[in-house]
Amino acid sequence: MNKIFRLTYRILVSSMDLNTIGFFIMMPVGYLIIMGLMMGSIVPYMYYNGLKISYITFIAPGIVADQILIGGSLAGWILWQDKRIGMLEQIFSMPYTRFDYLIGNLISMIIVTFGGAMVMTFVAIPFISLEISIFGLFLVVVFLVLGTFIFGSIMLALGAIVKSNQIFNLVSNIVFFIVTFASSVFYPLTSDTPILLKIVAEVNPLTYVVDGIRSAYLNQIGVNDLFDFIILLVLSFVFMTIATIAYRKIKLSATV
Amino acid sequence: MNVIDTKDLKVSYDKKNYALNGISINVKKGEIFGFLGPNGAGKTTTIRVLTTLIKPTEGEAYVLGYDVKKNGVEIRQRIGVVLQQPSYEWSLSVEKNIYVYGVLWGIDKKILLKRIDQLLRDFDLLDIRKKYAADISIGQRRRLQLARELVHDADLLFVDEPTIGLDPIIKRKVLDYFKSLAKDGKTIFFTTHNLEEADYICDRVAIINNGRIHVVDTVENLKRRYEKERTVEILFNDGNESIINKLKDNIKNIKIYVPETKDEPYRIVTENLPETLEIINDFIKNNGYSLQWFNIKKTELEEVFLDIVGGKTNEQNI
Repeated sequence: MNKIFRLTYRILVSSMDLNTIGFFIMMPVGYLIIMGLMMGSIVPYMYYNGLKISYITFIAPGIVADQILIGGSLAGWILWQDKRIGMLEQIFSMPYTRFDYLIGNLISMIIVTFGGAMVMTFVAIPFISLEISIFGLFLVVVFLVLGTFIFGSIMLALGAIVKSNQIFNLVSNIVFFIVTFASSVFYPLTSDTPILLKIVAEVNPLTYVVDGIRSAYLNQIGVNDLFDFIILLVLSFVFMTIATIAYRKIKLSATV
Repeated sequence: MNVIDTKDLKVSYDKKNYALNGISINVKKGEIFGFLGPNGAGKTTTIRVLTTLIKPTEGEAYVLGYDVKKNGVEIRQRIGVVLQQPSYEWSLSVEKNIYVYGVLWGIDKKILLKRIDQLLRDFDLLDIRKKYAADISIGQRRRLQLARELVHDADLLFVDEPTIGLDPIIKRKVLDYFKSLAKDGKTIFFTTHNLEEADYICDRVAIINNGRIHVVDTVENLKRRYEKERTVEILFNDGNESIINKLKDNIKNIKIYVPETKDEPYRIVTENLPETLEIINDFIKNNGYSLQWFNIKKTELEEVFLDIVGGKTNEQNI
């Protein structure tokens, strides 16, 4: 087995117990079903690119895209945890480089993101009208990978810098909240959206991931999605660079 | 062939003070090399340089013929490291911990499963093999950490204070295990501040303090160097101070270590035992003091160590 995949195996086995998987699935499923159906009773249908769709059809791609946040936050949490329990130092004393660990971690998170995205799609199928092409499926994969790289990098940088558990949890919860709710996951960005929140949503990478996946799920792929793709590509390079710099500066625990 | 070679190795974390200040050592194949020093002496920093976790600020270091500055992966491929800091997968069982570690080392599954069984037996972990690492005792976790590191076939093993938290029976078993590894040609770099176990296991020891090596020799040679000396341990029921001054005034080359508490005896290291005893005897007779504890010891590694590093009660030495 390639050494990156050995690290991926280790991360998945040591961090993915049934409770964690259950939690990661239950929360977005809860959003999808509870919010989709409850809000659907107030907003029976809405228009997206001139297409009349149910509210749950609107938010389903958003919940799928939201999996990148779960994968990303897990990447940071695992780095933080490995630092805390001494496994990072132990792994670095084996024939692995820091880069190997970084890539192994991100691959693990892409697997988690895809797993979550598939579960969310299957849960949503009975409630939504899914019209996805092969190209659309490819686009979903690309957007999920880029999204995981971006949020994984942000959370890895956080995991590398932060020194206490409380701060890590606090900051990641705040990031999670702002990124999820100041985006187009639950509502479309329109001319009536408050200007400040619109700016936040437009600099929020999740918005571009959601838009791309929504276009793919509703078979509405257009030029805008190419624009979304380019932005995500650039952002993933930027955040990967930031994460790498923060990660290089990790000081291993003992000092003497 | 030397397995470890360092020359004037220096490490500074803040560019002002040196955690290591010119370490030059060599370790031979099949040797158990003890690296002794008080807390903060530079033992762990030395291990971190030799295991390529950190780069030296100055100097040279070669491990298994490879340069620590350039060939980190090649070195780490052939070494095992038991860090002082506990490290294990909390959410996995004892045997799964070793299994995952074996996978990280790329060991074939069949071989790995056999080795796991053997290691569980060797380190008395069979009964708790299914228990989660989070649910076992500190000593059991330390054994797990040791067993896990032996899952792969390392040529050189770095063990940083490996017996912390182990009971005396297991401790002896672990030390004997290291001895058997050395007999099989493995080299062991062993840090400790437990001098009894260094005396038991090490072929040679280096004593480090404040980032400098003070002596490198076999335990026997070190003891021989100090064999003229005897240590007198003495504790009076009432008052110690005046005898100390009397001894200091009358006997040349005497070292007196002041204890941290009143319940511990003074340690008087002397090359002139008869005269020392005569002074103590006269002192007791003339002043009517009574003894609570009196003991004369041959020089042990502990005395050598205390003499070299100045003792734990360095500032209080009279």
